Parts: sequence; structure tokens; C-alpha cells
Amino acid sequence: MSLLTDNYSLYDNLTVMQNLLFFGKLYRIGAQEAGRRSMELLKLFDAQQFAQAKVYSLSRGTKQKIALCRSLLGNPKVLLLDEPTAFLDPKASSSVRKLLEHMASEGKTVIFVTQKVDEIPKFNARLLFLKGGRIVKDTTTYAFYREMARGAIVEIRLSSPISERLAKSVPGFYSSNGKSPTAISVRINSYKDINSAIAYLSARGAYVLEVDYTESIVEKFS
Amino acid sequence: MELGNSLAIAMKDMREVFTSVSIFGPMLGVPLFFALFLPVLTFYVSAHAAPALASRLFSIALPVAASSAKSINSASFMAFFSIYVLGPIFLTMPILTASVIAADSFVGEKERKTAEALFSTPVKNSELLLGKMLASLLPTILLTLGVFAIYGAITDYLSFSSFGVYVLPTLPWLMLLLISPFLAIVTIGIVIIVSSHVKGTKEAQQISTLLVLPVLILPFASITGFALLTASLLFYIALLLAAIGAIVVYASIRTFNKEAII
Repeated sequence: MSLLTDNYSLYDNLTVMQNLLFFGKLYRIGAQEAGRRSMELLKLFDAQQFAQAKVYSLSRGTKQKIALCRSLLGNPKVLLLDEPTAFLDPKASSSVRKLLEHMASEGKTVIFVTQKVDEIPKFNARLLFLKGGRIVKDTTTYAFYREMARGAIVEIRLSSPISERLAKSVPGFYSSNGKSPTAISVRINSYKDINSAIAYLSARGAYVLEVDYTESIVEKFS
Repeated sequence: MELGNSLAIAMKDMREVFTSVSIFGPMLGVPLFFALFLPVLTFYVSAHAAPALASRLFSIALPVAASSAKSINSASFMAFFSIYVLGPIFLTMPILTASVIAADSFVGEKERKTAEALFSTPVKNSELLLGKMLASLLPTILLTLGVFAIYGAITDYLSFSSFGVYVLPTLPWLMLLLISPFLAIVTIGIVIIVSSHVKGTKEAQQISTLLVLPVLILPFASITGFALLTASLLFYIALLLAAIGAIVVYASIRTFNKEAII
């Protein structure tokens, strides 16, 4: 099993490569192989230029990448990651998610802990909701959103402002942000209602950027 | 148990200690200051105040071929002071050095929150303990040897150039050197035992440095004549410390709970 904690667990006074080679040794990987795999992982996360840098000199995002490299070094069967994308840029976050999905597809157990509910739809996986240290819901991404769609208020974000009148005429209108809104909240009872609202807006020249369930999820679990 | 894993842990800990000036600075600075300054102080006192003092207080046989009575008293005083007064003070160095490194090695992992990742590797408790003990013991022994060598060399240079005699090494002085690793082992064992009960390195250091107190009694025991640090007494002290060290290390291994230092 390998672990990525929210504080990275890296040795600040050692270089990135010294950290990785040390953990490689403890994972019982030969020095040469550990060096090769470390460079491979660093390249994967676009961090090879930091190989000889002392950990204390790195940014939080880079430390997170190095900590990820360390947790993947031993090719673990079970991976427990505590907010692995918390300080990563969108590109790096996407790479991490793709890699983790690939690992999961190879039969490995990946436990991805996050507080960012907008990360939920990015995985097609089993979901466990924790509150006060206890599991309050055990579901899947698909089942969760199907359930969420019943009586939820979702936010539809638009590429450019529309008139307040148009916003208020959207089926299931709940609220909007200002007089020339770029975001409209609508109450839905199924996925069909979302499609109806998007179709209504599209037919009137509005472009939808995204549909955000975050507020409903937060409300449901607060 | 893989010795390679223990060595990797020891190397990692030593690298960490010796790349952080805030840790190794005071650890090296104080002993080096003692090693350089105390022989000069001893020489000054021996040369200027010792003849009268020495003739009143003690008589130590030295292999002096042809020297004046004044020189004999000065050299005798220098030998006495170096071995019986400053010797025990030098014994505080292995305690202080081992406590600094061991506290950083064991409790530092908890303080810097690196223990979780370390314990998630397949490393065994025995490998971890041995590695961390080596990381604390090896630099302590090297530092003690270095300090004794520097102190001895300066003392001999000064004593020979002024009194025509080498006052060091003597058997009691070498026995003091023999005691040092055992003191370090006892210190390390105590740090391991307290590591799961303290929150930070400072607490662990403070508890383990209490060992300095009994050592500091020794110079007074010598000066007052209560217990002169003869080679045989020092040998028994070494044996006693070896036994205590074995018990403390055994207890530390038995009580070591890695979950408690996460």
C-alpha cells in the first residue's frame, strides 16, 4: 500500500532525487531501477527539472507532484491519496486523474480523498461520503447524480450575459446573478429537465459552458 | 531484516542532520569550542597558578625525565585537570550529541509529519530502529573521537613545549573515551522510549539530557577526593553503562510503537 498525505511527507533538507531513491530502497527497488522509475515519474508530472532541487525550495504544487511520484514509485496495489490535486494546476490535475483511472483499470485499488465536490463527476467510480469520520453514503457516480437530479437546484453557466427576462423564462428558473446574468439556477427533477433548460437557452442564442451541481451537493451533506 | 534498509535510513537521517546548520551547528560548535578553548585555559592555569595549587592538592606521577619541580607541578596539574575535571565534562558531549540526533531522528519524523509515508513502506520495525540508532550513534562516536583527538593534541603540544612532557593519553583518559559510546547508547534508548510520549524534539532532548547531571558529579567527586577517576573505577563505570545500555535498548525495542509517533 502507498500513501499520499496532505502534508506530502517529504524530507525538506534532501533533494527530490534523494527522497525518491530513499523511498525506492525501502520499497525494495534496486538503486538503478529506482533512479530510472523516479525520472519516468518526474517526467510524467513535468517535474524532471526539480530532480536535484532541495524539497524546501519547491512550491506546494511541485511538492505535491513529488509526493505523488513517491507514492507511485513502489507500483502499489492499493493507493490512498489525500487530496492529491489540491495544489495542482488544471493540466497536472487532469494528468493525475487520467493516471489514477488507468491504474484502477489495471485492477489496482485507488482511494481518492477530496473535499472538492466538483471533482466527483470527473470519475466513474464508487463514492463514499464521510461526515465526522463516518461513512454517510456509499454509492457510485452514476447513481449519485441520478439521485441528485431529483429536486436539486443546479447552476447553468453561460458563455456571455443574457437578458434578465430570458433568464426568468427558463423552465424551472430559481435565481440568476444580476440583471445581465451569466449564471442561472434552475430547479430540476430529472436529467431531462436539465436538457430542456439547455435546449431552451440554446434555441435563444445562449451558449452553455457547464452545469454545476456543487451547491446542491454541499447543501445535501451540510 | 535487511541491513541495507537500516543503512539507507541511517544515511538519510545523517544527511538531514548535516545539511541543516540549525541542527549540526550547535552540535559541532560547542564541542569544538571546548576542544580548542579548554586546553588553552588548562595550560594557562597550569603554567601560572598550578605550581602552588598542585603542590598543595595532589601528586600525580608522570614520566618526567629532567624538569624542575615547578614544571612537574604544572604538568601534574595539567594532567589532573585534563583527566579528572575536564574529562567528565567531555563525557557530556556524547549525551548531548546523541540526544540531539536521536530526538531529531525519531521525534522529528513526527514533528515534520514524514512518519506516515515512512511507515507506509514495507520497512520492518527492526530495520527502522537499527537505522535510526546507527544514525545517532555513528556521528556521536566520530564527534567524540574528534574532540578527544583535538583536545589531546593541543594539550600535549602545550605541555610538551612548556613542561617537556606529554600528559596525554593516559589509561583513565582512554577509559573516558571507552565510556562515551555506552553513554550515547543509553541516551538513544531513552529517546526511543520517550519518543512515543512527547510532542516535539525539544521535549525529547530535555528528558534525555537529564543524563548529564550524574556525569557532572564526577569532577566534584575527583576534586573533593570522594572518588578519584582511576582506570579501574572507569572500567566498572563502562561495564555498568554497558549493562544499563543493553536494558534500555531492549526496553526501547519492546515499547517502540510506530503508530504512536505518527
